[in-house]
Amino acid sequence: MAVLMDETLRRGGSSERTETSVKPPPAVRPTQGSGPPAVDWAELVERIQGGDPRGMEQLYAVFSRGVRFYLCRQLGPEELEDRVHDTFLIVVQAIRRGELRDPNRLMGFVRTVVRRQVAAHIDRAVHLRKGQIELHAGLAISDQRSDPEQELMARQKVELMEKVLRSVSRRDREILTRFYLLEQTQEQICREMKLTETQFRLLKSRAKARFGELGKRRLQRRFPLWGGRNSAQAAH
Amino acid sequence: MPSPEEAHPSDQTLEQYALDRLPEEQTAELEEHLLVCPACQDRLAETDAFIQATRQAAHNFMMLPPSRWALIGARLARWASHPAPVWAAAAALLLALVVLLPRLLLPPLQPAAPALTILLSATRGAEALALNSAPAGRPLRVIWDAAGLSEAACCRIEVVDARGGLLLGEELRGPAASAGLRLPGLSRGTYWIRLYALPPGQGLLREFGLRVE
Repeated sequence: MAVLMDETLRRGGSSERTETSVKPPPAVRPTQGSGPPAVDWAELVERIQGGDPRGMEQLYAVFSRGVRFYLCRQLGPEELEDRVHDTFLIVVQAIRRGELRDPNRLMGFVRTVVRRQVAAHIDRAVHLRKGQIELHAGLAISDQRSDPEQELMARQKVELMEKVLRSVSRRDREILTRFYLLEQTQEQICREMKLTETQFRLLKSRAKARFGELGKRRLQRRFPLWGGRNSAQAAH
Repeated sequence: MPSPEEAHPSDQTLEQYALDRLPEEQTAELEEHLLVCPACQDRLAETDAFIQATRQAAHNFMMLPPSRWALIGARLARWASHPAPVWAAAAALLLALVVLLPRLLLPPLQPAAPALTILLSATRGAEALALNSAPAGRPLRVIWDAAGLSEAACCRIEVVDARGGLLLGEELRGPAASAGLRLPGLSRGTYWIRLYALPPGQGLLREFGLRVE
């Protein structure tokens, strides 16, 4: 799902960022790097309430990537654009109806709408499944599988992690297995395996670092000129 | 103080969220931040990928049949999990066996006894046969009756066992020929002590029988 989401976000997110960088709406001040933009929520809400098309544009610029990310993470890429569109429609209509009393709570309001969207989708899916069982009808079921390239990437990540797990001691492997696979709590693992909280955190961060390092190495093997080209450009 | 949309969550908070273990009030704050922070969206995507890969890899490892060494290790670990008194008792038992078993199985060690003097007697010259007796395992000093033996011809002495195997051969000249011979502790059996005239090939002078019991 995470692999799938990376790609979806890249597709959906790049155009928006270009748009905002060309003509930043007045209520949105881009920040350094990829951190959250500084937004004047009151001004933004006022524009939407006043029917200013730039208000819609600002709202989309601030929230579209996040809404897409949340929906994709929860429901997958299926009909993602429609869901994002519906979400913005609901938010804008609610703001225009004056349902958002405190403009500073706009983030919380958008979150509530998105969560309701997710809940409604799950509810629909449950009913659909029940109907299918009752009717025994061959209704269309969407294919939730990722495409072959994404499946390959996911498989490669698992291989990397297997390599990481092979490189650590049996005890460390057991700790990671207990935490991530068997979903035991940190407290339980520390108690049963006689670990301090620091040791536990250190082990996890080391495993993550190793995973990231192996991933980078594999990327460099696949694109050996990448690093060289960058350094050449830097030299010029 | 940074506003909720500006404060980036820690890696641990993101991981707890990804594992669905974050308390609701923190979840609300985090999700609001995630809605407007692309950097944290990327971090969460990476965390999700790590967790998913770790779960699958750990699952694959669990599905592998255990190696022989792992089985041995597990068995040892099971033994090691016994309480300390059990180990103490086992160690005491082992020590007792190490100390006591040799004492039970092996003959008791004798203190170094002084050599026992045996006077070998022969009454009929070379044909004389006299079986003297001696205790087993004790050093002996055998002396013989040197009457009638010429000092010039005396002598080479040999000790053989019942099957004729040579245990000791020595030449004794002059007064030493009548002083006797020291023998180490012998095991049970019959031995022959023979005195030959010198130079070699001159014949047997005496033969004494010795029964060690």
